Amino acid sequence: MAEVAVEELYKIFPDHVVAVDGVSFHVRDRGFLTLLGPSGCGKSTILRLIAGLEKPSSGKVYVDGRLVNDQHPADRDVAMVFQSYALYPHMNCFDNMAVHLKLRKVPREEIQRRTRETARLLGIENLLHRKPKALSGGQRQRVALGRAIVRQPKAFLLDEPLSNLDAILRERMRGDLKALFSAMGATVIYVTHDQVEAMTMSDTIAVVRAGKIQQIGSPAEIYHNPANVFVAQFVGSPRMNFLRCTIESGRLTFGRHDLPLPRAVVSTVGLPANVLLGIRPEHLTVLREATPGALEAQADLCEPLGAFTILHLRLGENAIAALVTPEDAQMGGRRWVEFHGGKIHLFDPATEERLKY
Amino acid sequence: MQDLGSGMLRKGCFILATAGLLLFSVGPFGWEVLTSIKPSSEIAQSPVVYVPSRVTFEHYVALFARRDFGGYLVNSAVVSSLATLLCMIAGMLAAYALAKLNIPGSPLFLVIVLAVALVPPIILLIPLYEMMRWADWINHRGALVLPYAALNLPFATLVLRAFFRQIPQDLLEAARIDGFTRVGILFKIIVPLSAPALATTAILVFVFCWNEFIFALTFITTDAYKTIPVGIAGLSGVTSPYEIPWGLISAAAVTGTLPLIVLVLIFQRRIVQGLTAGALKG
Ligand SMILES: Nc1ncnc2c1ncn2[C@@H]1O[C@H](COP(=O)(O)OP(=O)(O)OP(=O)(O)O)[C@@H](O)[C@H]1O
Ligand SMILES: [Mg+2]
Repeated sequence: MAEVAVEELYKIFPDHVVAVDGVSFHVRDRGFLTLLGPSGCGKSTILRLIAGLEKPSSGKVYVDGRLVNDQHPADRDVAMVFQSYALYPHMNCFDNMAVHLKLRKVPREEIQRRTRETARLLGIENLLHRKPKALSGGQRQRVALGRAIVRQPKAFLLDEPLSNLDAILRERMRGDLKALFSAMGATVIYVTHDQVEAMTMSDTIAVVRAGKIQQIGSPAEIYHNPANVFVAQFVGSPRMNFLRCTIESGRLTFGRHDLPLPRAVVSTVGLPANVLLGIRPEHLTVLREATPGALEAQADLCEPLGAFTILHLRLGENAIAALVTPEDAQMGGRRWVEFHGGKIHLFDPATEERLKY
Repeated sequence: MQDLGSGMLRKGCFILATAGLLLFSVGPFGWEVLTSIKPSSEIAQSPVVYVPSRVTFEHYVALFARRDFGGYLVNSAVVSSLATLLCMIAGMLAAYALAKLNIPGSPLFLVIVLAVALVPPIILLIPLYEMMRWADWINHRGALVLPYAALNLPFATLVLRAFFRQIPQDLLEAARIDGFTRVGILFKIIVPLSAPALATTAILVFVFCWNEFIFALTFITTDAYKTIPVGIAGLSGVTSPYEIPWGLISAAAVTGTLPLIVLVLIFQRRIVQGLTAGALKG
């Protein structure tokens, strides 16, 4: 396997559609980078630029330390798994998987051995003689994966490979894929709009919005220190709550409520007067009795998820959601909400960037 | 009750319409077949004899014994096959480039192709004749093969382009990553996937070549290279200048049409739709 890097990558389609807007990142050997972002943010385009299916408007693509901008897709030695799987309908699964090796003039016995080995790894040995149309979605997905794995490429590019599977299969494949790729020591660039996939599978996540990388870091970093409001909203479910506050005499004030500033804030100097407070639903504790430091709220609505329930509360004019145990979930009535001091995020309402303090 | 009645009415209308259409299109050919197996005396008889009193193959025998109709068949087959092959190869390449390669200016090129397709071939007759004379290709099969292929090229290109466009882009991109060359993609991916379209287009081109008359009449004057349509036309006035040998002509027309029918029947089996099913998720 090998490392992959892109530098100041731009892709501008006709009519000034800026699909990729100055993207740089580096995936170390055996690294697993996920490009996470909403539909249309340019994730696939980044992948296609690395694969060589599109020419960058400017910028550089490196595979294994070599500049590959002018290389044909096949010569870059990266394998791609398409969202649609893109299996050749007129070939059986064996040929679908073996086609690259055949074109590379690999000896016949080796093709047989490697293809069967890969098929065994993926549990599709008994499907090798079938045509893709005689397979289920999950089986097709495995064949598409097998076609990439059998090549032993320098890196894998996966474009939403799980999005066409049902929820149960997707969950299983998530674990399977992670185990598979780490066993192979593979370098992977993975595209998804599913934050759960991103959080569970990757060692690095790049959150993309409108062709720009918003933040790049480990899943924990992205979750605990979102760089801006977009990242904070996009990662985490249920979504982070936001409250518009002012800083008055060292306290965060909104409506008739106020909270102490996070302990990390040593000085309010340099902080704007208005800030956006972000707190995740899982970082709120909902109490039935008045408690010092807890804010009084009105319970509005419950959304049971099974293990947890999302409790929607009214905090003055603000609506917030909290994650509570089903026993605590009851609509109506007064509640007291405790904010976990260390988990409060502050953003600049103008730039939506995380405030530095 | 009313539903049943109107349903039956609709069915009746459908059968009637189908029968009418069938009569319209198959009728003349049926008449031709009947004429070809009638004794000469019954052909010109009035009132018309529809069903021959006895079946005779004298016209067919005469066709092959007295005239070199077998030779015409061979000529037609050779010229039409070569022209179709040439046309399909060029058409496939052009259609692939237009449908899938995103070449700048292809929309303009497409308009030109369409414009060329609208030019009546007869306009080209005299210039082509001059060219063939210059190339010393009069009475050469190439004088038919090349123009036939060229005349059908716009049609083949446009039809194939429409089919190629339906092939998912992902599939071709996967092929590029797998290491196929552009030409490899055409012949290993696109062609197998559009086999039905290719067969249909090839048949239509072949039929055109098989039936073409005016170029064949003009560019070929020796009997040895004549094609069937010209051969049939030459049958009038063989027996005597005052008599049209209807029996002979009918036999020739039937013989000349049979290969086409056989060809269509063979390829009809091959036209298997749904080959692309399973390429994508659904
Ligand atoms: N060939 C193209 N021509 C013009 N615009 C394009 C082309 N390909 C992509 N785009 C545009 O570039 C932007 C990014 O597209 P891209 O396919 O990379 O998004 P994505 O993040 O993969 O979205 P999704 O999650 O829906 O797959 C979109 O606005 C899209 O319309
Ligand atoms: Mg995409």
